[in-house]
Amino acid sequence: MNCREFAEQLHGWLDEAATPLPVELTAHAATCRDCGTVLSTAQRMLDLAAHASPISPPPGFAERVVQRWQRERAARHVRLPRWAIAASLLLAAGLALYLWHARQVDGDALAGRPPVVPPPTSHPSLPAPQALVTRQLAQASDATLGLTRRAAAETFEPIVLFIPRMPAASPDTPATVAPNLSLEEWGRAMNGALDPVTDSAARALSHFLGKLPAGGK
Amino acid sequence: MAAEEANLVQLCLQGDAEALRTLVERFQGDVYGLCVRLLGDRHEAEDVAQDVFLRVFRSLKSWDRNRSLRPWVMAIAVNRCRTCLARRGRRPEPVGYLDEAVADGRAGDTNELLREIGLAVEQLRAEYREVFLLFHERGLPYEEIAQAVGRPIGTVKTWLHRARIEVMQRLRERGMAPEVGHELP
Repeated sequence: MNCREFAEQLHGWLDEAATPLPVELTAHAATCRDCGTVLSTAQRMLDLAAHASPISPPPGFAERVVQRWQRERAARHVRLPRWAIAASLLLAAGLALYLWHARQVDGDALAGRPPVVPPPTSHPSLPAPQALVTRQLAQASDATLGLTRRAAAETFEPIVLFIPRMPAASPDTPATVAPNLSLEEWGRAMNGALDPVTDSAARALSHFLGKLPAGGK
Repeated sequence: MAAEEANLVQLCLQGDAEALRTLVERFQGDVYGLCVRLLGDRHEAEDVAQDVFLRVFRSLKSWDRNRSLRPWVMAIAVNRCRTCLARRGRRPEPVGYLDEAVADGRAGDTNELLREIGLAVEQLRAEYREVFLLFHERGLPYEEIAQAVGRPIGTVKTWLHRARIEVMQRLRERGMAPEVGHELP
């Protein structure tokens, strides 16, 4: 066997990595230093690659996948058209914001401060039915099923641009929430945020909504 | 095997949780391992691997019973990783080999060689890396790799051949393999 034949056979053997090394190859490698080096390097590389420690998935991986699938299937039964989810989420966001404003007005009145007048809205007489908000939030929660962390993060990002901070959890907490926006502007901003990110936007928005205080007056 | 797989898939389609779990457990090592190697990030790999199985479940109805389940699952995994990498727009961090070698307490020179092999594999172009990992690490036969990457067997063999040459070439450039007078196979 010459060196060219050795190279050809070695390539053939590498293609059938599970087969034993042909004796012709080892015989030639024993007589040719360069071919011996090529063979030992190839063997070492393949051996290390093949015996790299197996990468085990994190504990409970299968269980999490199955649970996620079951939640996704359950959610599919109540799946609404995308526009309906978006509308529902916007309504929940608007109601939650309205509740927060109303609560802040009460807090200011109790503290003897001049009330903060809620910004003008196209729905000045919008009711604050906590049950409705709760239901909207539950619907939003359903919409989050199946969302990956990456999708949530990517989608949530443009939405939070409009919200420097989440609403305060207590009426006594200083008003740090952002909305120098009217409800109308809020709705437009939410629509703008939803627009580029399509289906996962509704889910991401519900992550945000889930952090809003569901309670109100 | 084919009948057993068909039975398993049938149970999965009926929503049998135990069958779904069995299916995931059967392929989770291959899928998660490939995702870690291709993406270089275990957290991201877990997200993508979960996504792979959800897609598998959603598509089970369209699975061809005359074909083996594994290459079909691996094809979905390869595609999901490609999508993830394209979105990320960067190469994976070369972490796997080194971390495992240290954890194993292997000898220093083996560690270094492992690290260099890891670096060399990570620097391969995406399709070479895929076939290299599927063949040498996951031990898939050519037919299954061809199905997984959606290319003919001849192309897979060519990519694998080039991948090996590049890996060995890099090892040589990094002083991990002696210079030789012959071209590497």
